[in-house]
Amino acid sequence: MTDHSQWALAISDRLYHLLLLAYPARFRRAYGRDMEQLFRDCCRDAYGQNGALGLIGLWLPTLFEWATTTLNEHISEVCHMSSANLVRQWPEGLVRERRAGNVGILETDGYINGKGGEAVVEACEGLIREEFRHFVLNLEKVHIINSVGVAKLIEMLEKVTGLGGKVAFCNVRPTIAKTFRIMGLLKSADLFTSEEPALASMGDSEN
Amino acid sequence: MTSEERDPKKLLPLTPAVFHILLALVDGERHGYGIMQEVKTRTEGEVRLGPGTLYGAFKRLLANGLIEEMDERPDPELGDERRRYYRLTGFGLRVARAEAQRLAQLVHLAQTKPELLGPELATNAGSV
Repeated sequence: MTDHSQWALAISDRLYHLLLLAYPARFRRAYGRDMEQLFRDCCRDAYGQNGALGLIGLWLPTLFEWATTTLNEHISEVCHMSSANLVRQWPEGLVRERRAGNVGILETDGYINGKGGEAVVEACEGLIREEFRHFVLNLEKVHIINSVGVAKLIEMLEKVTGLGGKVAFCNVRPTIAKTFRIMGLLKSADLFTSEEPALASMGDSEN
Repeated sequence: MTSEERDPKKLLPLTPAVFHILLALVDGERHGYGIMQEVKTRTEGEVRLGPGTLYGAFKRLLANGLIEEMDERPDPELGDERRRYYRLTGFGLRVARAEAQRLAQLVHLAQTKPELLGPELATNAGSV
């Protein structure tokens, strides 16, 4: 590779890196590195085929695409924020999702049975897709949980810890805490009296 | 609701970019660059997906459970750079199939209109 081509590719790389700053931060965190790598590959191909003209031919549609997709992602982000406190319901209860920095908070209400546990797992999976890895499960309004519900929470714990994340339970009633202890949930998750210390315990964790 | 209970038709129609991505993944797992190259080759350069379109689509496809991410691994053709691979889920395959059926029905309908039967449609008539 000549000095000219290296220079042209390096400039393209740098410019695209700057353009990425226009995307919403969450999108950039999730895909920025991959997008840069992909654009680098495209630049290498375009330069290899038609030299500097090939590179210019790649930049023109890329700029148009950058403008439209940046706008789309910002619109999508606004829509997402307006549904940030998403509520999933089942006949005997509901789970609300909240976000606090890099921690996903799931607040449940009612009876956690199989359907309730499934809703908690789904809420957790949705946040995992948004790159959340640490979770606080607030059980203040949960008065009862059955064995299938516990099994679902174990499934959630395994998913999160499998990804290197952490789970903390808070506001757990003594009878439910006892069940968690017997079923071994507290071997891989901590128990807190309220949300604040639970969130603070995630402070040292990396996202 | 599990993916087996979800109705794939609720996600139709798909955008052309999304359908192309799903079609590229029907043959097996790929990374972003692999999908982009596959779409470009298959459409003879007519459809070119840029990074913003591709990763915006990945975000939505992942959120809807149509594709899933696999471990990063190096691409032997592209040196040691580590890449994220994606594959179609069972639900994603059902959505792609439903979209293919929808488009086939649309083409079939178009073929019943003599005014629309130009040379290309006439040649393909009966083959869908």
